[in-house]
Amino acid sequence: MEDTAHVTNFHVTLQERLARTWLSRYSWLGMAYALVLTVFYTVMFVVPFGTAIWLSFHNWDYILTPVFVGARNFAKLVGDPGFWMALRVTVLFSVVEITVAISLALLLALALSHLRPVFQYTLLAVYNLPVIMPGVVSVLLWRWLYRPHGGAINAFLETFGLPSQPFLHSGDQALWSITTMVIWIFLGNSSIVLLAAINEVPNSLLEAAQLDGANAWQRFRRVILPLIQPALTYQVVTSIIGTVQLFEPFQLMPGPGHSTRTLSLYTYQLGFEVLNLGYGATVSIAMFILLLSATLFELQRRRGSWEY
Amino acid sequence: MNHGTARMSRRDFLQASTTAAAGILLAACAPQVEVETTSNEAAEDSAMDVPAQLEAEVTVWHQDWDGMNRILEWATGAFAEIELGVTVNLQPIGYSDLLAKLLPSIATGNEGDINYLYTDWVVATDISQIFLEITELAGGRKALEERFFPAAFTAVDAPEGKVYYYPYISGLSDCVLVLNTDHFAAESVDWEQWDDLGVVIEDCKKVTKIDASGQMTHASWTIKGMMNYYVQTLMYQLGGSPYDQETATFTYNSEEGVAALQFLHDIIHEHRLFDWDFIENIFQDMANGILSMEGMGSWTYSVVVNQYDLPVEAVVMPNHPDAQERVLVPSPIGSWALSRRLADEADTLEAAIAFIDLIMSVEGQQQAMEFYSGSLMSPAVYADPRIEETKFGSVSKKCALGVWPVARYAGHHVANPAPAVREVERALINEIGVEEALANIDAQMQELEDTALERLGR
Repeated sequence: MEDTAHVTNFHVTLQERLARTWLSRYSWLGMAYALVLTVFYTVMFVVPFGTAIWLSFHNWDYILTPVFVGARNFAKLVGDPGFWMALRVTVLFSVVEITVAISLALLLALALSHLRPVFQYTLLAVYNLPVIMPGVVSVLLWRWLYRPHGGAINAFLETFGLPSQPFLHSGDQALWSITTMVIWIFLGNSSIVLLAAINEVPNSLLEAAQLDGANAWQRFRRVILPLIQPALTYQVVTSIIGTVQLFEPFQLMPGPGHSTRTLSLYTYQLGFEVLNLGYGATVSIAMFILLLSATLFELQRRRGSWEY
Repeated sequence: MNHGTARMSRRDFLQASTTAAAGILLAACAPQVEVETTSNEAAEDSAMDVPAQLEAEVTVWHQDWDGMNRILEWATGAFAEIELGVTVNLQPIGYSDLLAKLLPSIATGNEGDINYLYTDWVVATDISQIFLEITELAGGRKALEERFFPAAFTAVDAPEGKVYYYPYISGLSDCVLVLNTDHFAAESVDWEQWDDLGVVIEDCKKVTKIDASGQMTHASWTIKGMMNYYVQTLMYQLGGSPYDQETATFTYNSEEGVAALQFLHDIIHEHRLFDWDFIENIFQDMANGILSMEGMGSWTYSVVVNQYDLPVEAVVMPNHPDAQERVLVPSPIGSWALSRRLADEADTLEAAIAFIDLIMSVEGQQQAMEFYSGSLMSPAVYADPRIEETKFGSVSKKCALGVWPVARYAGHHVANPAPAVREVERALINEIGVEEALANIDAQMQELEDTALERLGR
């Protein structure tokens, strides 16, 4: 009996010790915070995402009983020219927007890094105004700029004897017109991130490089660029997500035909306009896979190239 | 039974008193509209035998546009005079938001008691699962077809001929041409003589202006907007049909479809009545005097008059030169419908019907004609001579009576046929050929139709 009691006591003691260790490692307050976040994340992401996956196997219109259709929506996706056209537009837009926007933001940040902080902040505040401005206002402004008759840009072109351009009314120009506007909106924001990273580069490294005979390009290429890689990666990844999910400009200033129909707009049209929720969910899942792949690819590509 | 002392039902009382109130308010607020004295008499009679007050709150979800806001504010004020116990809670919602949230809200039971919708929003689902049936509440199908243009009830495929919405207004998009009379008169064009679209095109050529370098400086007629309805209309007129209800199949890509779309294509590329790139914003271009005619519907007449004070005229769209039949395909109908919740809320239901009756009264609808030139859906409104005294009544009447007797809805189950519109656009800007566009429309519409029919279990 004593042996049994001893063994039992030993187990109780062990459990208490383990519990004490576990509790000491994870505080109740921390657990409470984590729980709140987990619930929030579950409600805001896991449940909707799970619903989207469930929807993608059904034919539903909000009202009638959902009809299970198996993998038909996914098979349809493969042969849907509308999906491929939207994918093409999305990829084209994202690649061009990210490349041009980050290049310009980097140039801007480099230029600003040579100014005194007070001028940096002032100019960045000005460049960041389009981000603060409501998206609809930006769209209205650019629609006015792009007007074929009497629009500011065409008036400017005509001053130099150049022909007027149709911009949003041309299947060839509409996407690039919207891309320009989006670059304008987010340029200031990207510059802030990159300028902060450039400002963090130790002067001692730049001076050492200069003493070693490195010219401006070499200092940028060999010192600054490697050291701002984390910020660049962050900027590229958030830009990929942002551009693929961008919706308002394509809805509010569409070009003719399908010239500016992106995946996010296509998903909206399927879900809310033609009541094809199941297929709309399928397209959104394809969009998610695209985003995840692009993000992972970018992270993988940059891994190992971060140096300090 | 002593009819002289019979108690009046609550609904009779509400109908009589709403009519009376509408009349009284119109007399006070709109001197150009005369009020029938019979309405007042009815109210006086009914006032002697007043049933208990209704206690209810009626929430109205409606499209947020100036005209409707004004109508509903007027109606709410009038209603408050006669129904002290009823609170009408107006919820103006923009078109896109209303479209996006109406069905999801109905699915979760959070929609308004009275809801505004366009008929094409609900063709892809079972309307009997969305709104309360009103056939008997409104006096039966026959009474409804007498009260409204019968074609209004063919816009949505309803089971067993039942009715679930009160047709209210339609812009008659793509059925009416609105033209600047100064521009056409300057070229000695008499638009009253337009027998068919061939004549229209020839007259428009006189108005179009292209400079020596080949640049367009003035467009005569743009078909930009909702070309899909043009294609359907022309197909019907040529003896074809974009959709066969028997087999539930789309046949845009047919002899008539090709002829219809080619006809529209020629307006741009052969007759060059407008350049695609030249037209930016139809209203702005009309206001700036670089566009003489558009075909977006009779509703635009009031827009260009109210906002730009242009000298305009509205003409019901003539037939294709080779038309075999007079058919026009109007745009979807703005309608009122009741929440199914109201089946269990008698007082709210009664108050909601009374409020709709007020909006739908001849007096109520004539209010709209002070600032809206689209079509109302009640022949009685147009039969009433007071319509001529309103600002846009005569234009609306001419267009409505020209369109509704020949109106036809395809009867398919595709909500918002945006894909078709985009394919038409692609053909018109020469991105793809006419036949390819029509084949694409068939494929996309058929896919949506089949999906809808699968949900409907047909």
